[in-house]
Amino acid sequence: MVSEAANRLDAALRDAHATGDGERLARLYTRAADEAEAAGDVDAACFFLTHAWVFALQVDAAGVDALENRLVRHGRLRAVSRSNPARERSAPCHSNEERARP
Amino acid sequence: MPLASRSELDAVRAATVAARGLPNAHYTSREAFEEEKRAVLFSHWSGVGFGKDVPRPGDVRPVDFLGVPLLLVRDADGAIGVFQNTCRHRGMILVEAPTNVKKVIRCPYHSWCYGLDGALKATPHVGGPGHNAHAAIRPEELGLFRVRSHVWRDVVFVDVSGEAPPFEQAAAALLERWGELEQPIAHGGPGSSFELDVRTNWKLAVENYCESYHLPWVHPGLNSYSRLQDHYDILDETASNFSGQGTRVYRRLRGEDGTVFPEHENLSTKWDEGAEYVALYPNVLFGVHRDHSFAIVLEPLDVERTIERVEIYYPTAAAEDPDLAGMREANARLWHTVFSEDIGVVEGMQRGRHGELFDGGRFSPAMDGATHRFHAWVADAIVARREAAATAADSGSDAVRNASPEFAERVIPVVPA
Repeated sequence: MVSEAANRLDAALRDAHATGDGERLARLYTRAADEAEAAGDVDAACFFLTHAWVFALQVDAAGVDALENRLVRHGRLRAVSRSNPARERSAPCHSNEERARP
Repeated sequence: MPLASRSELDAVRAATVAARGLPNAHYTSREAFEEEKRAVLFSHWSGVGFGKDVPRPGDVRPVDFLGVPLLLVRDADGAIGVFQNTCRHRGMILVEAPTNVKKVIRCPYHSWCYGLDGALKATPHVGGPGHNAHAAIRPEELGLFRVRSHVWRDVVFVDVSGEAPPFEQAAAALLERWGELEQPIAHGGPGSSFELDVRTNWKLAVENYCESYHLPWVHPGLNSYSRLQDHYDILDETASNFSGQGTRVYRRLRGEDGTVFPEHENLSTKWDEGAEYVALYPNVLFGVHRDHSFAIVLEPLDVERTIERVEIYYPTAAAEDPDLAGMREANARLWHTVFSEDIGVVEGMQRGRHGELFDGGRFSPAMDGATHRFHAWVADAIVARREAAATAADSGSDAVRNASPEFAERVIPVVPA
């Protein structure tokens, strides 16, 4: 039987999705991940962590690094290099500039 | 309606005194519109928007450029990039409306996330629920397709083909001509923007803009202070990709108390009472004065429909001065009146091209040189593309790929993690 707390969390998540509140979604999915992890359900925890991570990325939340680190520890994300500025700046994505080179 | 023949195009490329204009099909035919899309608009630096459309880091704005979904992005450093607005996963459109994405562009379908530099930053559940990596999905290979772009006078230009010369090279003659005016400008604010939805092929808007011949009849309000004889053609001997007209008697806008806009600094006397109006081919129109400038991006919505986006700019001090807001609005109203007066004639020319007996018309060597130059440039571009395609077909080599539509396979650089 699903607990009342779980029902409340589920309702809060649905409400946050309906309003598109990314910060709230990141917090709620993190809480869901925490609860799943506490219950020993790593798969569920990583599912929720993934959602929390995406919404945290989207709203540029302060907890992005922590969420990534948790996913990396569980082997669900490749280690993220934050020391390479090139990763953030002017990454040469496929550019049609290739064609312009003599 | 068949595409223009080589002989018809050669007639356009003849000297102004003998030339015919582009055949009707170039204004009414879907097939010709498609040919021009690739030969003219995709193969050269075309305007698709403005820097003021994405003023802050994280701002993104989708643009449909002749059916190609593009995305203007202002990155964290303040630079503007243009990407194809398509997720590398399943081709979903990433952004449907202008917004600020802060630091990532999230695909609404499976939440793949891209940075403002186009790099792929997240592939949630790509390896299964809760598994965010997979050996077959290499993020370093799946960043957004960046489309060559350049910003000049706040106009965002793109080269969809990827094969045009660098912008600074392609527009070198105009950049040099207006070198004195390479000074900081700022947009005049919300009242300094307007659009005109015109039932005409985009080229007629360019052609009309190039010449002063129509001014006395279509813009009679100018006759009192900017006579036809005060205008001159702009036809550069070194560059064939722009033309227009200049005036020697630009009259500055004055407020009721005699206030004028601050002007750019250290200008030569040419600009005391001079102003110039140039079409940078294919689809961007500029007007420059000592105290303000404007840019018009012509958006070809369809064969016979064009959106003219007009944006007005000032030396930074003038743009930001609240006491000049009224004058900025008055200036915008004035230009709106002028450009609206042109609607009747460009729409009339468009309807006239459904008259099958019209043979492209003639050009006055004295008055239509700037207009004819545009016709000839378009004809040259079409001939060049047809010849390239013919050469590629004859050789049957990789040149076929290079001569074909612009989104062929690309060399994908591998970026170290």
